[in-house]
Amino acid sequence: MAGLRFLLRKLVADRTAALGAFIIMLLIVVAIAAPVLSTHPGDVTEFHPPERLLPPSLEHFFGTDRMGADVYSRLLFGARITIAIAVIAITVSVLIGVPVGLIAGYYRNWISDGLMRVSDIFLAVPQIVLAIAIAQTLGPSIENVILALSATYWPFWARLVYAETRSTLNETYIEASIALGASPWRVMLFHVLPNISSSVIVRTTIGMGGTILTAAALGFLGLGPPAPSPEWGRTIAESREFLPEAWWYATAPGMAIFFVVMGFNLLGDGLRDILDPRTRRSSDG
Amino acid sequence: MAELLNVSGLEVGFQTDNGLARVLDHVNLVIGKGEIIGLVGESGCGKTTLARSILGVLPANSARISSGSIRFDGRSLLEENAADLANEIRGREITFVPQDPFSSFNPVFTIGDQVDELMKWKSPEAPLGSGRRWYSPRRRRNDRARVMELLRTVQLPDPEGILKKYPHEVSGGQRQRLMIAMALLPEPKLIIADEPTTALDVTIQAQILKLLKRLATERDVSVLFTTHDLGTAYEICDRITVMYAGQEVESAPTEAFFAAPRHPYTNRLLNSLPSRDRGITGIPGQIPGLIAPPAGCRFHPRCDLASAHCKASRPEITEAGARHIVRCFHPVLAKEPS
Repeated sequence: MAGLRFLLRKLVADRTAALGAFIIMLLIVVAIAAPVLSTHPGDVTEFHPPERLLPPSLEHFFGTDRMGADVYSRLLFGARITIAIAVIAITVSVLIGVPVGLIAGYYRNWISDGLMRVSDIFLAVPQIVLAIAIAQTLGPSIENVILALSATYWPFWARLVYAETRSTLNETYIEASIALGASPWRVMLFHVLPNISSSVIVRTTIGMGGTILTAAALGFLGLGPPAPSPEWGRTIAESREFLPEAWWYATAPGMAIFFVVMGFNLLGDGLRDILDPRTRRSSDG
Repeated sequence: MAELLNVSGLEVGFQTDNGLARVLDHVNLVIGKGEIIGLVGESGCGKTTLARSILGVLPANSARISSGSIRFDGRSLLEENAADLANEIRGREITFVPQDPFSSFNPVFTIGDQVDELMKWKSPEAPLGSGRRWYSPRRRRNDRARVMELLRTVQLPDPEGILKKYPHEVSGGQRQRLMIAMALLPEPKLIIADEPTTALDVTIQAQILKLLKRLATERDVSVLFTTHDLGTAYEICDRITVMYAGQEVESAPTEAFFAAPRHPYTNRLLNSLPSRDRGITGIPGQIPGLIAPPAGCRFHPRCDLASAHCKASRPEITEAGARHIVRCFHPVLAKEPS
């Protein structure tokens, strides 16, 4: 497909975006190939107390934790949890937020007002507080983290899509398609949505970073998947009492979170520049 | 000449925070088959509102049509069902060339996609009726041939190539040629062109106007052409109607209009064209507010010839010559070309 090739070429040309894409691809590869890449795949559930808190070595790249498990191997398996949480939570948020924003933006009546007020209420409560409240009420588990994140993140897409829809509806070409008899759903899906899809894609990419941070925060507070899950936030929480002596214990998951969030943000910024069709050159069309 | 469009006694108001703005006040307009009508007036005189009323695309939440009728080709546009009009009239019988060719294309689709979309629903072969419909390969082929022929007619270089481009990749003049081509593709009876050349530079303007006139004449399509530029109107129109503050004040065949304007406003308008010996002269005063317009003749506060009668009662349309009407108690008799 010409469009995809074009996107890839632009990505490679933009160094920071390419770096972001590389980090994210690395994360995906690591998550899928975790059993192969890890040196001690069994250490997710098995413990070797005699080997606890060993510093990094050739045997244990990032040292061992308080239970004597290999930090490196647990890190790789943690990537799976991170990806699962982020992808599912974001997908649900987009699937709720985008239609809500489109409908609220297209109509100018009580439905529109109602939908936007509901999203305002969600936005008025600090994200992390609401997520903590939900996760705390439902109990610590991956599913509940996903639920808490989806419930708190969809209003961002609703707001964005609402604003973009309102401004796109004023364009002559949208007015013309309405005047020619196009139905509301047709206008929303085939005329408005393609115009705002680049903002949605960019927001989604950057949103992934935020979601991973919040998921790690919930894990850190003990509201994520329970022990012995290798979830990154939980690992950092466990390592606190051994700082600063066992510095590798907190550093490995911390750096992982840092790089992944940065990767999504870099890619999001790069996509923002690339996806605006007005900046395309004619030879690329 | 057979009558195609007849607007009579049309009143349109806009609900504003300060009250009802009466933007069109008892407007009459007749367009014959194959006739090119210029609708001239200052900004805010109601040109665009009239054009939009005919198209049926007034903003639904603020505009009110309080009286009058619009008859088009035997049908009453103000009374018929909106869905039928959208399907059968708008985009088929009456098409539109917008003012700004820059914002009129959807930036995320290629021009070809947008032309295809138009042809799918509005090509002369497209069946009436809404809902999902089968776009047969045969019809697609015929439509494609029609598109190619018309793109060549509007003198676009490399029509095949242009259809693959995105709107921002072609120039403003080319976009407006495409708009004209798209307005002609459904083989309409009437094209409404709302200041189609104001966004273009002067040399391109002349080309586009000549093209529009030639195509309209060849295909026997009527054109309602709104502009604030008398020179442009002179170039292409068969007849010119002048609007002032929501009323049509004079309508005459182009020759008579420039040779013997009868309404004082038309006179001042023609005198305000910049010329070498006079320099630029404006019309003193400003167009009245439409929420509480002046009583009587709406032009009387700015008119030299206004009498007490003008302030008290509203002038009606009177005949002033062959197909020449004027709305004035004291029409100017004959104007010396200055």
